[in-house]
Amino acid sequence: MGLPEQKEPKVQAPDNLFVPLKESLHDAEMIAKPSISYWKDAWLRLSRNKLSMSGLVMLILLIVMAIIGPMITPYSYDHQVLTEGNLPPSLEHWFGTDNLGRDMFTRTWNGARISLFVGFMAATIDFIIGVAYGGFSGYKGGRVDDFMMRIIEILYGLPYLLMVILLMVVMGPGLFTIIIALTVTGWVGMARIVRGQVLQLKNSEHVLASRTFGASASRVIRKNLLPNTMGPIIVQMTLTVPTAIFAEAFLSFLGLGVQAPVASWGVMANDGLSVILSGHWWRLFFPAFFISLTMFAFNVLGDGLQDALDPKLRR
Amino acid sequence: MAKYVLSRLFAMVITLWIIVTITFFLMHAVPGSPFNQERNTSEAVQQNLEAHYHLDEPVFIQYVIYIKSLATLDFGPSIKQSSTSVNEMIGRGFPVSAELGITSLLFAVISGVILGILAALKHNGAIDYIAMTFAVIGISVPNFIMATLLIQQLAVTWEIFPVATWATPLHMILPSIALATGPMAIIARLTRSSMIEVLNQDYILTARAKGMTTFQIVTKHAMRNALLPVITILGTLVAGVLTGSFVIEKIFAIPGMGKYFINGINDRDYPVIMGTTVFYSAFLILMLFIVDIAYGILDPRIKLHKRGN
Amino acid sequence: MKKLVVLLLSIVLLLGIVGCTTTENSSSNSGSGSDESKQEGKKVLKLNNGSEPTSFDPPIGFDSVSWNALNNLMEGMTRLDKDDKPQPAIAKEWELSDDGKTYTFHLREDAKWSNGEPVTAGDFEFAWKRLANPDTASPAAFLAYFIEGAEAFNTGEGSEEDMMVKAVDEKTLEVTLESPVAYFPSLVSNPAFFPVHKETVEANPEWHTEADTYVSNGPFKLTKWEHDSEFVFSKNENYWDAANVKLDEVDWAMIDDTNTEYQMYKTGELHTSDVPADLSEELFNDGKAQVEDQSGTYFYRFNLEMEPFQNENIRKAFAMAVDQQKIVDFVTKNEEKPAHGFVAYGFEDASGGDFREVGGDLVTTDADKAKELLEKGMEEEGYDELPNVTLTYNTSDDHKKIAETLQQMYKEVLGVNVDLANQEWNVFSDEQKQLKLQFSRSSFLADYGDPINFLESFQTGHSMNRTGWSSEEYDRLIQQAKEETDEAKRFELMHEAEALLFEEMPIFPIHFYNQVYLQSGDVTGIVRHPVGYMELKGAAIK
Repeated sequence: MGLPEQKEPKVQAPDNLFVPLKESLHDAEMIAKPSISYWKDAWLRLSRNKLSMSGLVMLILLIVMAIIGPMITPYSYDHQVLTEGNLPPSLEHWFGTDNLGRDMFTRTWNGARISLFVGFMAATIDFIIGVAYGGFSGYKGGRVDDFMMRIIEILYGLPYLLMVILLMVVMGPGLFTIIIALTVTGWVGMARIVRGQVLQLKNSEHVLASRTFGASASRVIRKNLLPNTMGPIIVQMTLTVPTAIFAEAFLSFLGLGVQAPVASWGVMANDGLSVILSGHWWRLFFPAFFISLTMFAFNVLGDGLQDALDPKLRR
Repeated sequence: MAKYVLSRLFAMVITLWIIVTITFFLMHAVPGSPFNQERNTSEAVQQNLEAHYHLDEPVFIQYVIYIKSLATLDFGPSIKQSSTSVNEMIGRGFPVSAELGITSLLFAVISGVILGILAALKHNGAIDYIAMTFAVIGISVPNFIMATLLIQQLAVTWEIFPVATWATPLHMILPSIALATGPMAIIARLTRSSMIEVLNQDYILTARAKGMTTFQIVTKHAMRNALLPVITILGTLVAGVLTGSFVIEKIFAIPGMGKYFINGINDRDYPVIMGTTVFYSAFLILMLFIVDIAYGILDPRIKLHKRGN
Repeated sequence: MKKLVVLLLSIVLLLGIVGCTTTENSSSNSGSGSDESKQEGKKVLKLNNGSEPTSFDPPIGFDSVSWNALNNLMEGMTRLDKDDKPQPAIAKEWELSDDGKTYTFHLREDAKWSNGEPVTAGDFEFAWKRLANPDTASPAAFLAYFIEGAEAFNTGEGSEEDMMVKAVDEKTLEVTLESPVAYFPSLVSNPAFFPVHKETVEANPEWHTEADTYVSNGPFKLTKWEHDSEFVFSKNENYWDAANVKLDEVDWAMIDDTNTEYQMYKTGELHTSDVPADLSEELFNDGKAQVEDQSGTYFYRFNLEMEPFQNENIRKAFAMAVDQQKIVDFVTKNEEKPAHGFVAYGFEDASGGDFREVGGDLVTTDADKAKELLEKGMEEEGYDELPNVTLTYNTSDDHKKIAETLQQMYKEVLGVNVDLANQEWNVFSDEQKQLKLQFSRSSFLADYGDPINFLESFQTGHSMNRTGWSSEEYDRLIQQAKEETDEAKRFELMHEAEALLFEEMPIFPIHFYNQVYLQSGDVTGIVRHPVGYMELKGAAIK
């Protein structure tokens, strides 16, 4: 169990603690290391993690393919050749064709645009709202926390499907509507996790110290609490991506999403379900594989980020 | 503590009332009607139906009538299945869903936590990678694909398990696994991540210095703290899983509650929408409350009854 | 880095299972599910009802999940035979008055309820009045409107007494119609016209909700009903024709998912199954899938109140650009008959000709003509560019496939880019009725076996019209056809009406419906009618 990193903070902490205090409050705050070096340090540590870097490379490749993929075949994503339906992968059609004879390679990368965009957007927005809401609620505690948590319960309790149908009727279909639909309740999980972590940490010494020196709530949350809760936050974020990709498929079902003949990975995976019986495996395999790959890349990257961002593991 | 519980209970009723009110007006704002049919009907027939279910009254009056009957815990009759009351639906469906939910939740929590801990202990080791690959697949293969694969492999090809329906314990295995893989993966990920953090804390080093074995450290010290994020998501997970999964119940033809949530909304079966929402919300709020209590018990740093600055 | 490769490989492998296993399994044979039933010595047929029946109360359960089963629990005056002709059932015979309006039904002496009591004309009178009673709120009440006074009663303008159905005595029922309806004997085979046991219904309004209180008069009785899970029929010994009922028991499962249903069929847990979408081609090629007609039409509606479809030529262009044969062959792949008219096949006229065949193709695929008509239409309207067209369908894989194909056809034939939009069913249905959709998917399934049922839909203001189309000439033809007593003339009027419909083209058809199913070789005698519900009376199992 001897993890080598563990010893570092023990050595480092006294160094920091015993720096003599300057007179002014402003200088007192300078105890915190400059943030540039924090991110720089994080990046350095991340870049040393091979697995995480390969995750990053994979993500970049996926994004590049999403951009150029549909262009490198002679087919368009929506061109049907009805007589060439359900062809297995071949030199002509690298990923085979679907039931209407459309090239699956082109469709897969065309779908990647939507799925990746939706996944990234949902994760980012959930992160921003969730962390701000959860952090504030947990940090303030008391009545404010109670009240904010009741709002979350209400959001959880309302029938999502009903909200989404109304949203669709009011706003009409489109990517923007999808993002709204995904984030209207999506951030709630993140908020609860952050709040739980903050509740746990807010009475620890470094937070108390920071507060004693008069740091504002937002500063304490940003500088003291968040870096220490990065682990669960990143896990939650990586979970959001595939959830969003599949939720998008569900929303398409309600007519909310991008309209046919464009198909995202989630929609393609849904469409391909009965191919488990018919043996047209390529129609399910490729979208499912790339969803998994995206997930995988996010996970290993997330793991690396978690290690890199954790102040306790700093060198 | 008693005071805290009481005030929370009061808040629960208020929260529930707000949910009921919003849902009620939301569902009447959504286009559609329980009597929409693609086939032919006549105006008069539609009017008779609406009158029969008091849907011809102003929405606000309907709301008052509903709140009155809700006060006596009467959810009213279903419009679509006219011979069944919503109370009967919940009474029939919930035990089945709960049975399936508890089985799969147990499976998910136990295997998820074990996988997570093992992965954390062997951080960046082979077990870590295997466990996390499981987790990645568990999350990125949605449960309807998992379910179809399980049926195809274990029921049709190998004929080990029955394909579907809900009769014997043997029937429960495939749907439980299909329902558990997602939550299991999430729990494993969360456990691993917070476990890695906890294992780096000073008091773990202290414990190790005292000569405790890894097993003792994990069970006595680390787990308690590492499981807090898991508990956070468990509240919503329990409510979600126990009140039924539409997709899994549909694929395995399980007579649980899940379908009422979705079908109620698809059919605009107003009493069913309200009944399931009230039931689910009440259950969920209760679970979140229990999670908060569990927090206080598991983490001595959080005190529930002394709040505010 | 090695680890990474191993990881990726394992993901590929796991997902690969999907592919490998599917191919080897798809060829394995259909189940032989009779082993179990043989052991018990009972003839048990295992069917799937899809979901919980809405209601087994005849006037309430107005859908196939209720009426398919109910059709075998109860019996009306007549029952359809294999050739879809009405045969005497509870009525042993009937007479028609000279003006063609009054039917006198004579009930069988030996017709009994499952509780042993005789089926009386009073039960029928009670049931039919109950169907029309506004308090019953039956969605099928409009079917009773054929009876004089029923519509007034149902709309609250008339009274129960004025509805002209009367039990003359124990075993004689007299009913007077609004106008002569040649197909009335076939109509009364419909579950809406099933009798109910008057005493039971009056004593217990909830009689139809549980198996122990359910009283039926058909070939089977309800012996077990586990709601949302399964129900069981067993042979009704009190049925007048019990000697000809060959099954001892019918077990109905409620499996909502076609893939699951198919897999249960393969393992022998069900005797019949629907065909999963992606498997139809293969199962047809193997000769396993069977087809029966279903009287109904899959079609598209134009909205005449929205540009550019106020223009007849543009509507025609959009209709003629569509290749129905191609859609049926390559997209739906269910061996449907392509539709070039609105009324489905299967309606015989006085001289024995089929309505559809006599009527011929009223809209044909013709790319050049379509282009020509589009240009002409745009000129008429002064369009330099065609206004945007959005084709809307309610969400479903099947509808999506067809919509995507239409989109491509319009692009290729007319050079028009049509947008697609899907909507949740209930929203879709609302918007279509309110004429908010420009161009939308539609379907029609016949409620009773006569072409007029199809054609009456497009009268001005009819609840099935939903196009904004209105033609006085058409309304007049339909009205005349409804009053005409001479069958040959009546069919002529209906042909004229249908031709007029396609002259103005507020709709265009894609295909006629059919019923595709798999059935174990051990099962015989299940009848699936084009109009009507499943018959198990003559079904047998080896």
